[in-house]
Amino acid sequence: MAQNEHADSVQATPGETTLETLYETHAKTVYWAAFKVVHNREAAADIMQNVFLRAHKHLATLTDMNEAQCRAWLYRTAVNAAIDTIRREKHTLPMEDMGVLPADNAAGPEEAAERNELRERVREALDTLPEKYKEALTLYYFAELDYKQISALLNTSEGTLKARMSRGRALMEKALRKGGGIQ
Amino acid sequence: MKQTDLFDVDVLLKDTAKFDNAALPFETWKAELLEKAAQSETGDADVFVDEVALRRKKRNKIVAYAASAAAALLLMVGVLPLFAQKSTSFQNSSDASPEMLVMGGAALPESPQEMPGAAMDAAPRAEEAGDEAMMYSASMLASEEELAIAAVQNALLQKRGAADTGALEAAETAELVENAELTVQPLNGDDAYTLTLLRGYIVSLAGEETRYLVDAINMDVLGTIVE
Repeated sequence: MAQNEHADSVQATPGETTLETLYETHAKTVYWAAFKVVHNREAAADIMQNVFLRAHKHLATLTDMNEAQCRAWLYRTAVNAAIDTIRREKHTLPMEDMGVLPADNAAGPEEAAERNELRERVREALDTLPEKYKEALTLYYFAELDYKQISALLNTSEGTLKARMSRGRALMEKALRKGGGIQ
Repeated sequence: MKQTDLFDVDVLLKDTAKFDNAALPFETWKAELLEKAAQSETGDADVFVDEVALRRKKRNKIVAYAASAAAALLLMVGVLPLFAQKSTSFQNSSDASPEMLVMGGAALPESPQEMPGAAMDAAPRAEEAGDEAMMYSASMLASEEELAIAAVQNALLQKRGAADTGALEAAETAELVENAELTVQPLNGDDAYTLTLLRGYIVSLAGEETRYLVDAINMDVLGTIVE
């Protein structure tokens, strides 16, 4: 995972933090933090934009923070904004919408359709998990953070995090087998 | 994806995440964000003065409508005698257009032209344009309540450090207070003091009894409220 390996090198040192460097370092974290709450691609993208605009307002303060503190601020702000969105738009916000994704052209149409179906089942299985497992797996696989970054973000030990991820994967496998995702 | 991979949830998650991330236009969103950020630098002031501006606009509209009604009445009263009397000053003003004659200065005994009719006609359109601009900036930027909450989170993150972010739970509220006299304990440990705040937000975080006071003018966290 590229970002897992290089996230620290992308980190801007104090004084070098700009909106652009913040975005490049934390965009996936913010997007997936919002998406796991709203389950809607457009809404998650809007929330991400608002979170970074808010960060832009507080850039002077964020510049004095280290990367972990910045990530925590952005993550918490994104989750809060997503919850606010759900609260405000619960009657109008379509759920479980990944939006229009490009077709998987790496294989033939039939295989691509099978892959897309399997991916959808993976997303559904992930969504059925209790929050603490879903959060850990989403941050690791989708936001592409490493164990150290996630454990700092969730204020937990790496051992606990690994246990959560292992348990989460086991629950997902169970859900996928039960739901027919894995024969 | 090989058939054997179907049994490996780790591989399935990696494949799904890779596919989903590749499908998301992060670069396009970045360009949009940077453009909005540049726009917001000139629009920030609008957000912070929205409420004051709104009150002023409403008051101006009321004044404008009242003035329009008065002007209409004066015109009705003033113009009718004007045509009846055929004022000599109108007859001498051969260069003036009919509109200028009707609206012209000395001719009208009640001087309705002193009511800036044309300006008032244009005023609502200008007001509407202003409303649109304000709605644009307000929808683009975070609300004041969100900013107040973020300011408190920010202050607490700085004070407590990232290790204690667990205290910052999801559900917060921000309550607007105006002209409130409150006693505040600054976060830096300085002595508590009492102030009368013209406009601010009381922010409550879930799981905490402490309430924080944020100045709405500059979004500064003044401290915790001493009960």
